[in-house]
This record gives sequence, C-alpha cells and structure tokens, in this order.
Amino acid sequence: MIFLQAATGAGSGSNYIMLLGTLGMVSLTLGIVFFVIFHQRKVTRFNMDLKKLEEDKQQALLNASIKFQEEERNRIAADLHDDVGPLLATARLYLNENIINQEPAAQLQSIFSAKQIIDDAIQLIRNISHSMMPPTLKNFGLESALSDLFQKINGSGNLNASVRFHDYRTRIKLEQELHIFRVVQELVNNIMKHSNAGFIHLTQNANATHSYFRLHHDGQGIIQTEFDRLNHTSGGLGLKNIASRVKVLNGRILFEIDPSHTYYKVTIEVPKETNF
Amino acid sequence: MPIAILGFIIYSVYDYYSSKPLDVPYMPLVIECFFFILVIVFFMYEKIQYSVSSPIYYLPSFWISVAFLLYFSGNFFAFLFSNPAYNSPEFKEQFTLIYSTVTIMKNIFLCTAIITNSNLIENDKNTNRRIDMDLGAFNQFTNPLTHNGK
Repeated sequence: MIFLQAATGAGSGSNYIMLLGTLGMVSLTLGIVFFVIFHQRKVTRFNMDLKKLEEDKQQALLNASIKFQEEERNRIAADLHDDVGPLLATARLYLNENIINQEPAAQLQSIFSAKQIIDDAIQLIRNISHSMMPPTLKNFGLESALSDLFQKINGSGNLNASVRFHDYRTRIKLEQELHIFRVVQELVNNIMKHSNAGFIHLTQNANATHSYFRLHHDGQGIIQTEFDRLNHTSGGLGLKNIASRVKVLNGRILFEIDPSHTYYKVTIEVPKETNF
Repeated sequence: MPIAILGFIIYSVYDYYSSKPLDVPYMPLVIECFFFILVIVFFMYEKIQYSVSSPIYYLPSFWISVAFLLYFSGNFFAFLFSNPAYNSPEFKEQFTLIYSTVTIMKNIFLCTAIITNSNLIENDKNTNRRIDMDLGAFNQFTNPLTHNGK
C-alpha cells in the first residue's frame, strides 16, 4: 500500500519503473532463496535415504560375515569334537593302566594300535588346519594354491577343472591372496553344488593397476542382477561373504552370461597391492 | 574473479576522481550491485552443490548472503535511476522509502544470521560435551528385599 501511494504520488514514469523493478528484483531474490532452501532439502533427504540404504547393506554384510565366522567355528568345533575327540579317547583306552598286566605281545599290539590312532588324529588336525589356511597358499602363493584346488576337483572325475595364470610374476599381499582364494573357493563350491557344470576354467590376467580372475563354467549360473538381489535378501550367506571379501579387497565382482548363452562368466577385479 | 575485482577497483577510483563533487556515483554502485548479486548467486549455487549434510538455513553464511542479496537486488533499480532524478523531491521520497525498507529487511536477515550462529555454537557445545564420569558418585547397589528399601 505504501509503495502504491509512493508510486502514484511520484507520478513520473521513471519512478514507477524503479518501483516495479525493485519489487521484481525483491521477488526474484525471494524466489531464489526459496528455491535454494527447497532444493537443498530435497538433496539432503535423497542423500539421507541413500546413506540409510548403504548402512543397511553394510549391516547385512556384517551380519553375514559374523554368521559365517560362527558357522566356521561350529564346523571346526564339530570336527574336533566328533573326529579328534573319539580318536584320542580310543587311544587312551589302549594305553590304560592295565597295559602293564598284559602279555608283551598284547602290550605291543595295544601300543601299535594307539600309535595308529594318534597318527589318524594328527592327520585330522592337519586337515582342519589346512582348511583354515592352506599351506600351499602361504608357502607358494595363489597360483599354486588354486592349481592345487582345481587339481583336486579334477581328480574327483566329475568335473573338468583347469587354471591358467597369464601374468602373476609378483605375488600380491598374503591377506589379499587369501581373500581371493576364499572367493574362488566359494564360487567353485557354488558351481559344483548348484550348477551341474561340466567344466570350470579359471584364467588370470593383469594390467598395470589391476588383477583379473575370471571363472567360466557351462552349468546353470547367475547374472549380476540376480547376485545383487540374493545379496540383499536374508539368505545367500556364501554370496554375502563373497561380496564382503570383494569389498575388503576394494575390488569388484561381475556375474555375466555369454551372448551365446552357452556358458557363464564370473570376473573378479582386484587392485594390485604387491607384497614385495 | 580477482581480475574482475581489480578492474572494478580501478574503475571506482577513476570514477571518483573524474566525477563532479556532488554527483551520485551511480554507475559504480550499479556495477557493485550487479557484481555482488552474481557472486552471491554463485555462492548459493556452490552451497547447494556441496552442503548437503545439514539444512542450509542452519548456516549463518546463508542468511548473510540472503541479507546482502536482498540489499543489492532491492537497491539495484534505485541506484540505477539515481543519477538523472536525484534532485527531484518525489524521487528522494521514493528512494528513501525503498532504501530504508530494503535496509531494514537486510538487517532482519543479518539478525537471523546472528541467532543461527549462536544456535550453532550452542549445538556444538552440546554435541562436544566431555563425558566426566565420577565413579565415586555411584551408590552401591542395595537389594530392596534384604534392606527393606532403606
């Protein structure tokens, strides 16, 4: 109202333009300010949603990792309790105090039996230990460990498994090697359990910054969208474990199907961190 | 940006010495307004690009920029028309009205910036409060069944 009075009081055209221009500029300014506030609120909300999704995913991976660890502990406990425990108990039975009252031949037989059982127990403990950390991996590296694994699979006669490393002159860090080994092991286990594949072939390649491990198989596989979906559901513990290991490696994993639909490919990309 | 500032300073000095003593330096004022409007709009654009963790209206710098944006854009036309009509009493009346209104609004927004800043400091104090636990102050647990609540 005051502005209108001033405008009519001024009477001249330039004053009227000045007043309208000022009102226009002030409106424009307020418009910009409101736009900035609302736009920023929208962006903040979007970012918060994104952050929540990421946190949920992290939580799921963490839970899977803890669950996997617990399962592994249970497995080791079961192995020790069910296999090693009875063996040692039997050995103890052979070596009880009555042994001194026995005939020398019977004594020798008891000692021999106890020795056999203790040897079996040692072998069992060695197997458990090897399943936790393969000695080939520690001593000779990823190439040897994976070759060893694939040879064992091949030896079963059910599946044709082969490995070819093209560029692995320098070993990467042992922790990285172990993660890659476990990922490949899990993938191979899944292929053997679910895909009915006739062959598995692993190839390794590298460029200046990354190493690439690619598994081919001709069974029933999964593609990336399916992997992402399974990764977000409550099941799929092995896949979650793969995802968390790949995340630890700062790498990527890609599940694909060949355009001819004859075989599936799983590619693991890992940044190079050499040990030496 | 530094070249623009330097150019503007040189032009202002030139205008100061070349104009008559009682003239309104309307052109430097208009350029200044235009320049500041551009800078503040750019600043806001930067803010909405990167400041996404908390609402922008929690930042004092946002309210300061709003205050000055309003001040310069509100006075833009008043400064633009000041040279030809400055001696007219009708213009003076209208100029004073616009200038005063815009300046009051600017000051209100600056006050908002001060209030926002004090709130921000208060929040910081609350979130960064030290946890001093005097363990000696804890009473020993007493079983209400054996001590009858005494």
